[in-house]
Amino acid sequence: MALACALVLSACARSPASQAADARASLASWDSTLALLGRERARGTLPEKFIAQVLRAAAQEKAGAEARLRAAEAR
Amino acid sequence: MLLGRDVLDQQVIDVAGHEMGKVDGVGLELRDGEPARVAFIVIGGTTLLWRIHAGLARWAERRLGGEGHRARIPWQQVLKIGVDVKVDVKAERSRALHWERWARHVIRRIPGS
Amino acid sequence: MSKLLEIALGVVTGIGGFLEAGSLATAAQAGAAFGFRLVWALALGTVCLAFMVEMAGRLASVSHHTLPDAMRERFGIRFFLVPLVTVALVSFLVLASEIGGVCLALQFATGVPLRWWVAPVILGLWLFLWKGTFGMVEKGASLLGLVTIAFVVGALKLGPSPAELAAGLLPSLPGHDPAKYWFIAVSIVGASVSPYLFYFYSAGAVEDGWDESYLGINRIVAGGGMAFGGGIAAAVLVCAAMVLHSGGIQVDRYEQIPMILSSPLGRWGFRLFVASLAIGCFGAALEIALALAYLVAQGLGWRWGESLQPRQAARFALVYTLALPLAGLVIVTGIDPLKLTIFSMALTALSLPVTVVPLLVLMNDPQYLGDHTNGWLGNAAVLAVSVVACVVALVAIPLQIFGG
Repeated sequence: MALACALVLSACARSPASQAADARASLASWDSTLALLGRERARGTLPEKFIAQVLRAAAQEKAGAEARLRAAEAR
Repeated sequence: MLLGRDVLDQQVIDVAGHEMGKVDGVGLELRDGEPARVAFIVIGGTTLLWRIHAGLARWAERRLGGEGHRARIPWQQVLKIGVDVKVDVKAERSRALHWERWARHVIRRIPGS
Repeated sequence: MSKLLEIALGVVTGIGGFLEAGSLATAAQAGAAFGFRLVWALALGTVCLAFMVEMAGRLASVSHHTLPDAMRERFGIRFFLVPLVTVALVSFLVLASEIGGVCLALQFATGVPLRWWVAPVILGLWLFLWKGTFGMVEKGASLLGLVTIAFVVGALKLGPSPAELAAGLLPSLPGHDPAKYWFIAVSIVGASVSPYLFYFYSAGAVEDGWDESYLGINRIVAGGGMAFGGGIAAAVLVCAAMVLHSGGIQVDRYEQIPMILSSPLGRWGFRLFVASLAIGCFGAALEIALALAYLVAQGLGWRWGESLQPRQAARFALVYTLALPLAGLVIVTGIDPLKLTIFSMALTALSLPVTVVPLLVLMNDPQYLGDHTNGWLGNAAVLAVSVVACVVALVAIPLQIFGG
């Protein structure tokens, strides 16, 4: 039973190539988010307090994605 | 009447129409040469634990030093069995509501209860 | 109150009460990642939900038993423990996500970090339950929840192609990222078919004194309320598809979601989003806390009733009084609210058979339903959706956790 689980889980773990692709997709997604944020900001549809929160979230997520990308490329 | 289906785990309602608990257990009276007869129903205490896991029930009774706050209602006081089991008992006086009274005591301290 | 008014109120309550953290987050993720391709999952979940809510209402009206009460009676304590513990655990996590949703909405509006809002929100929820009646909870929060119609307005303004939208109603295989596709599909079903809804609905039917004469109303309220409510979730998906998908934006944080409404509706879009998130999650949190209390109290035979004073149903009140701060603690730990929401939705889907199978057995038992037992369609639809959702969840959840 434990062996079966271990086999399934190891099959689930993705290859470094696909992990790198995921990290790049995440970075692209957040760059697009920031672009959209910029457009909304120019239109004045979002309060500054909220924009600050999105910027903070973007910085956190991008840092995480960059770390994952470096780790995947190092393999 | 099938005890398991019609009595066990049914809601028990008192004379005032208030919930008293569920029939957690049924007590049978064994008689020589005659079919067993229902003597009483049991609400509360460690009764339920005995049906779930005997080991757990034994442990609980050791910790509690007894059967807990168990209410036995004689079969003669069971008025009607239908959607619920109606009994000729006042819930407020019964041991079945021991933990409800304890909870009420806790809750009384909070404003607006 | 005239039956027509009751129907109208019931349907409106169903619509207003539909959108909460789970349906919002899963629909937004689905729209952003896959455009309209997952509309079928939403439709499937909503149809299954409508069937099950109707069943819960029918059970209560005909047998005068609530669902937990009937389950304990019919299956005995040992079997009952399985749904009791499973649903309690899963609902607890969902409760935490809803509390997180309210706190997040307040953070978006004010800039004050979400963990500072946990205590006041818990207090607000608790006060509402402590002093309120069932009617207030059922109707109050849900009527205010009609603000979520803003998503429908936004979706219409964005002008999706009807052909593309219709194409999304047909299940299709994903072009990319199948693990994520099926995980989101399963989470959508879990978000739609939340067990706490049936426990809440069946208790409500008994609190409101429904009997066999209400069967028609029950059918319309369940069907209409849930169907239109599902339409609001679909609107969220459409908004996310049109605003985020085209830009290649995946939803990984709640912060990305308000723009799906600010884009079509401007400044008011943001305000309406925050209001929708806050109200929707607040209402859902009330319902889940009550559903937990109903589940325990009715299963164990305690006195229960939201319209009773707390001291009249002390243990019942104690359940929600303890559940709320415990759930709040989960949010205070700093766990990511979006991950918690999505994960608890997937867990809900995984645990569906545990709720569904006992319900179906009851619904086919003439001892409880008399002449009103289930037809084959209801049985088949509900069983199929829950078994498939569970199996897919069994595969998709580990893939998402360990593959992501």
